Amino acid sequence: MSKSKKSVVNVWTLTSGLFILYGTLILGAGLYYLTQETPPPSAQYHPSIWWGGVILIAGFLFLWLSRRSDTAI
Amino acid sequence: MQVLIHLNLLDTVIIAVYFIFILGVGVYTTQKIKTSADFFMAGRRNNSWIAGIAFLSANMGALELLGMSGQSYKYGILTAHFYLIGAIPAMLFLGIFMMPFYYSKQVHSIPAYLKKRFNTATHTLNAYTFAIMTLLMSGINMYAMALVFNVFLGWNFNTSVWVSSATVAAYISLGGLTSAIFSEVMQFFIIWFGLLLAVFLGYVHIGGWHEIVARLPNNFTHLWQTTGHSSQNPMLVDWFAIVFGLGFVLSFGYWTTDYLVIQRAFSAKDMRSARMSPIIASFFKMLLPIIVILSGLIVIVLVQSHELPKLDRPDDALLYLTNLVYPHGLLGLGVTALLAGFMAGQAGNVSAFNTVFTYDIYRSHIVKQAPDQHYIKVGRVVTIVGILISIVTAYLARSMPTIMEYMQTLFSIVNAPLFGIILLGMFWSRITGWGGFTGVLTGMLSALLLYYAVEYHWIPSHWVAFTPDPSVMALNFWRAIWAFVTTVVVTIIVSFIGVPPDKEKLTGLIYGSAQEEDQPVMIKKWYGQPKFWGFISLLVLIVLNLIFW
Repeated sequence: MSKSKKSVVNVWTLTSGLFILYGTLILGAGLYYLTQETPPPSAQYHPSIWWGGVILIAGFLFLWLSRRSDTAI
Repeated sequence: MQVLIHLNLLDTVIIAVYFIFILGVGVYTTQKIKTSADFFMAGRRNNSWIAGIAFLSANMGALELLGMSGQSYKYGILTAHFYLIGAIPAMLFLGIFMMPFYYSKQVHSIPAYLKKRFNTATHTLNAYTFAIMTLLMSGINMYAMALVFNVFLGWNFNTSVWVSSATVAAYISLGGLTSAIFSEVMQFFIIWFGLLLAVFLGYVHIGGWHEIVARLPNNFTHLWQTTGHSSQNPMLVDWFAIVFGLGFVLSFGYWTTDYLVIQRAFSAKDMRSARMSPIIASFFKMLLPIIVILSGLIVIVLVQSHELPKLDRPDDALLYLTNLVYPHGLLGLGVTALLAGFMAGQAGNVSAFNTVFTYDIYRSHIVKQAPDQHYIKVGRVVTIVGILISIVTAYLARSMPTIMEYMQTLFSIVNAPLFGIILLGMFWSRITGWGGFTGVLTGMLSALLLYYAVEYHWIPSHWVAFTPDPSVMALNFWRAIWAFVTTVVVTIIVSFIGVPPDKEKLTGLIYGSAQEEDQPVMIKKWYGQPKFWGFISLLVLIVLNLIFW
């Protein structure tokens, strides 16, 4: 592996991609439950919405980190 | 086992996406593998954060997720000792005192250090015992993963074992340690984001810490208050066994000698990063009880209030909690987090196994002079073979009452004696090669003998643990102490019988002789020093013990 070249794709890039995808899916599920007349009991505090949002934000943070990182690959 | 819930399409998609990403990591990193150093050491290019997160993530397998929550369900907050005194001092000791020896250019693995410090016999013994232990540990992780599939999806146990094995075999054989570390960093964050919320929701649902303290007996919610005598707490251990059995022998024996975690620190780009990686990991380690210890306590309350059935197996605690509080979508993420933890543990063991086997067994004894590419191919083949062997050990794990107790039994037999000779050898130049070999072999045999002697009632258990009816955990702690003491005594006696080693040959292998290459000139600020952050970590440890006294 080259030691002088900073990689475009690194571990933070992959992690950000995964989290952005997960955040979108879970946030979407939370919004869907809002439209239901009888959402599941576990959805009463709307965890999918706010935690999906947290995961989505984390995904973008990892993306920012990937641009600044000096990791190996 | 009855299926708890049926995952819907969204949950399945979330799980499938993770497998696709992980396999993609393997395919991507395989293009970057040019040399055996790339495959086995990840090219030694990682910064301290990546190496530190991977260091902890490699340890965060089935043991942490299922095993510890199961122990918490069974023993209460005493289980947190495995994250506090049972980990932090050893991790800090590794980073501050031992890493200069390990990271030096002279060694690539723990067996390699033993070869230089002691002799080839010690190196070979450790290489083989470590290889066997990692396969057993990989089997534990495989078993735990199959358990999740079985409980949540209703998959056949055998099918689950093969699915998980194939996935790990694919991405580790493709990308080696680089692939393992990539996946471990991803898995680290998946675990936190996938499971922390379940604990938080459960905590709010039951009414918080006040409710836990009100409903549970006193010895379930205090770390030290009930350790004056073993009869005062559910783990049936006293403070001496916790401090010296767990906190010293088992803890140091694992965190300072187990190549599985140390290999991640070896992937660091320089000495300072290598020293900082276990120190960074120590902070995250102290946060883990939020997930695994608290979940066990929450499940106890839920069982008491009949919102959950009484658990047949304590290791199901975290599974039941996740299933109770998560809607679909988050449920898929929770399952993914559990799977991620298991795969991290399995991959970690397999990558450590393929490195030790290829370098310390195959290259040392079988094919000594071959092109570099040959050893990469061997590493890939060994990965597959290792996975196949660990499938067998998965069935062994199935027969043990809890994962944690099985793990600690292994550690008391292998790691405790190893720690004895490394501690002596690293800090005392008088210790000879044959002293180390005889000591570690005697220590392992004594631990094995004690295990079977109690198991088959050749001797009463209180001869080992000094308490009338010790728990399995207490026996593990005391067995580790006995193995360590035996190792130390035999090592010293045999060393003094033999000729003192040539001190010049010990340069860089014993304390006080390591070359100072860890501090780049620009890092002279006190807050950049590993010792400073080690001190902060120690302070946090003390405060936590006082809060939960």
